[in-house]
Amino acid sequence: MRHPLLLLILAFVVWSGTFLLVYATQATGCSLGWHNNDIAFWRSPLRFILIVLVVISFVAILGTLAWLRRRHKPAAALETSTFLGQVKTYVTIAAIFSTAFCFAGVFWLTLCPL
Amino acid sequence: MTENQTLHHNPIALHKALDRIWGTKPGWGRLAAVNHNVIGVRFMLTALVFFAIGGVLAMLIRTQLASSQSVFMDAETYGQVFTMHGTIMMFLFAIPFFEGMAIYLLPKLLGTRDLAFPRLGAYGYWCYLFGGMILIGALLAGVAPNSGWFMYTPLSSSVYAPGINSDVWLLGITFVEISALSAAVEIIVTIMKIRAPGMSLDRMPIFAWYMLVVATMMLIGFPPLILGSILLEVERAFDLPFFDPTRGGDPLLWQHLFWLFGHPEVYIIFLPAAGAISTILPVLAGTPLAGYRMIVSAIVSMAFLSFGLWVHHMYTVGIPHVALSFFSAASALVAIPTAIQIFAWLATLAHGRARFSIPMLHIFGFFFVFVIGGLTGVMLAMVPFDWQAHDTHFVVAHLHYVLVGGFIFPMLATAYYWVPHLTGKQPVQHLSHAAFWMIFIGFNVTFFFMHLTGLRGMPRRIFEYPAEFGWEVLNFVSSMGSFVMAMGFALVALDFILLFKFGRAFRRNPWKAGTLEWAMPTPPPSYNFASIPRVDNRADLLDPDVIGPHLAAGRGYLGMPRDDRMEVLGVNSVTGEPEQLVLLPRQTFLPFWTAVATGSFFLLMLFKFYWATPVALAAVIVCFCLWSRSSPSSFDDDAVPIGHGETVPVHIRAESPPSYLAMVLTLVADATLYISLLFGCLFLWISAPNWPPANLQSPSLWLLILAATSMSLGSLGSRISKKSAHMSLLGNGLAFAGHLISTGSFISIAFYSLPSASGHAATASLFVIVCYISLHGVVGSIFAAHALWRALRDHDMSVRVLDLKIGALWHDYSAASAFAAVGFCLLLDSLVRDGGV
Repeated sequence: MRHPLLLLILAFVVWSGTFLLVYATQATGCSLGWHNNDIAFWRSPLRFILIVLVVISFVAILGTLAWLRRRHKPAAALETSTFLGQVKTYVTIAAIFSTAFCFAGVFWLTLCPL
Repeated sequence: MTENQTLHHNPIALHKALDRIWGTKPGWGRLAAVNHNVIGVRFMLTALVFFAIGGVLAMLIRTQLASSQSVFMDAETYGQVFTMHGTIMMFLFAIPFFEGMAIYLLPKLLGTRDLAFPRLGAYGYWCYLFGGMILIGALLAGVAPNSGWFMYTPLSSSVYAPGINSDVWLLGITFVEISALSAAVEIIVTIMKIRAPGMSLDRMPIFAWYMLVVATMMLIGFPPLILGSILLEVERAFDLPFFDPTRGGDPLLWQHLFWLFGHPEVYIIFLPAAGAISTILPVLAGTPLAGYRMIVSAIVSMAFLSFGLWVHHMYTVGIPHVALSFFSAASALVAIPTAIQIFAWLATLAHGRARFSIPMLHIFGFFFVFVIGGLTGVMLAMVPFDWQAHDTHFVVAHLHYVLVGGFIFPMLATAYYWVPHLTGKQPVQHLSHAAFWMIFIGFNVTFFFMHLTGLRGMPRRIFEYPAEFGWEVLNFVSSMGSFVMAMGFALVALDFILLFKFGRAFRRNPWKAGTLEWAMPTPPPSYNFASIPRVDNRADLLDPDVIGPHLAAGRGYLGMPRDDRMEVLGVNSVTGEPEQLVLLPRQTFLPFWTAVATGSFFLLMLFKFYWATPVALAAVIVCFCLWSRSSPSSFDDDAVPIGHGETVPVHIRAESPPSYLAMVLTLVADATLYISLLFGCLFLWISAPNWPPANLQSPSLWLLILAATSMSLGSLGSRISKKSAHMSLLGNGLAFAGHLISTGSFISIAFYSLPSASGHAATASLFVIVCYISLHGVVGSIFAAHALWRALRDHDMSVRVLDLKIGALWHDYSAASAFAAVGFCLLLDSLVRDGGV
């Protein structure tokens, strides 16, 4: 996973994985009735699980940004390296925003068919 | 003077020598063409023929809908006509046209002589042509597909579509999609490995970035569609009930698989067109492209986001609110990277001084139409609005604004811009303005009013409507507009005929562009560049007028033909520094015959001669094996001079040869199909009715473990064979035996251990997964047999290791997927017994 192009898409790969995982967990949870039992102040374990997944993903992508910025050292020519570093940063910021925007619904929307 | 000295001083002699090596032979030799110029033009011309057929079908649709009293077509004919219109435009025109454009343009823009795998390009073309001919043949015979271009089940299932109409779509389109996947692999590898020296990632032409993203999307996007088509065909042919809810199937599985491909498809069509605009617009504005880095970031983000909105075609199927919110948010988000590109183009125009030429006129058409399509797209992304407008003519209007705006206008701009390159002639442009305005006005009259028809509630795909619903005037206006648009396209065709006949000759670079495709004679010679340039600036800021003569005189890399070889340079994918000399295969009939063999498999399936399909498959395998016949031993040279005092190894000795990357990419596509299959089966467990099955009899655990462990012997054997020449025989023998035992075990599971696959979707799922692994075992045994043959013939395994490395990749993947299959069998068994709903 050292090729610069793979690092460039790393944050969105996490976003994609989150997308599949959250969607699959929501569908599985609804199918198995995880949304019907109250746990403490959570309305349902399903919502709790989904929120945990989203928060972990969000933190993971934030961590990706921090890691990419820290490890950024010119491996190729300076110009190429600067280019790749800048594009990586833009793409990772887009992935962070996408994660927050796409999955915010797990906090309040209806989880399963009524 | 020696021959080489003559060539070095005489560009004409160099041209003749190179053209003899790279050129396509006349007569029957044309069937052996592998040159990217020939294949690219063939793709584009064939796509235009299909576009004309699709256009005629569109006129038939508009004629039928012009009046509520129309008796022009009956329901069955109308069903075939609108299905074929959509199918042709999406699968036989839009994608193949840009594939052809990329095949023709990419090597030139990248400063090289051909694509990485010329035979693969030729094979893809023949698959596309033959697959398209199956569909058009069915149309002429009156048995064309009639269930809509998205073939929703159960309408396309055998109960409601008992004829071969749906089979024509499923088999024909799968055949055509071979060309899309082969083009995807070829384009990615070419962009990553076959560039001009010095062309680092930051110096690549923007079009190459677009095509890199698009080809990767194709690699991930097409496998779910191919899987869906296989599953539906298997249901129709052998009664395996994946989409039949009475036996544990679910029609929604088809929609998920189709739209997993179908939505990214929109961007797969749009992005190449956007890449062309990003190339043309700065030239016409006379200033560099604004926001190059921002655009690269935007298209990468767009590629990912486009995969996260497939369900926005399925808002009305009863999905919970929270899931709808994921897809609605992604649908809205994807507008942002699109807008970044639009604003970058506007900024480019604002910085420069625009030339109001014909390509620019079509770019204006693109801006106007595509932005409207994008805005209605954002409307449809909002769930409440979509619930109102779903399956109405509003959606038809929206998708035409997006696709015609995002593809047809840029395509016309592209054609007017690059046809001088293709023909060596400049347009006379007497008809071009009139043609543009007729298309532009005709299009907007047709489809703008269709929004209103849709908002008034007219559903899609109906062949007649009551007069009192108030849709007739709007439909009549749309039909009038469509005929004006059709006349506009006819004028474009005439304009190009006039250009070919009476176009003005020009010297180099008529648009004063800064890209490398103009640094060659026009029309381009078969080898593109007599010698390969070194790039020291961004590849759209070069001076072709200076570079061209320099390269024609053979002063770049590889400026000397050698032993009749077709040579290009392979570079480091990041820095662009030369790493290897890639020897390309010469002209051959093999791609043609392989496509014929592949086509015979699909035809045998179509006409239900299932018993004969193994023969066709064997023929395909034999043809592909013939591809691997290698060439003289002199190709094993250790280090070869490439000019400018530099030497590099031949690709079979290089660290990272193009075909190794191609195999990695092929396995990525393969894995996408497999993961889609596993997810699809889990989806059925979660959502399909009539689960769990009454008697799911799982295969024996020991047999499963034996099968998977044997498959891993392939992987182990290939590792052992690398240790020494003596171990080679043992290792490859082990790999061969492992694959044979594993294949036999999995086949025994599929046909003897599992209950009837037609009884329930659960057993059907297990059956298909096991068959998938068995097929990998068969291919793995062929790889192992080839390696064993080489070991027996005492070939020097330390030199030519490329095919062994490729085989090892396959063995590793097969072993991993076999263990995943065993895990899935156990998981499904456990879910059905303990966690079933």
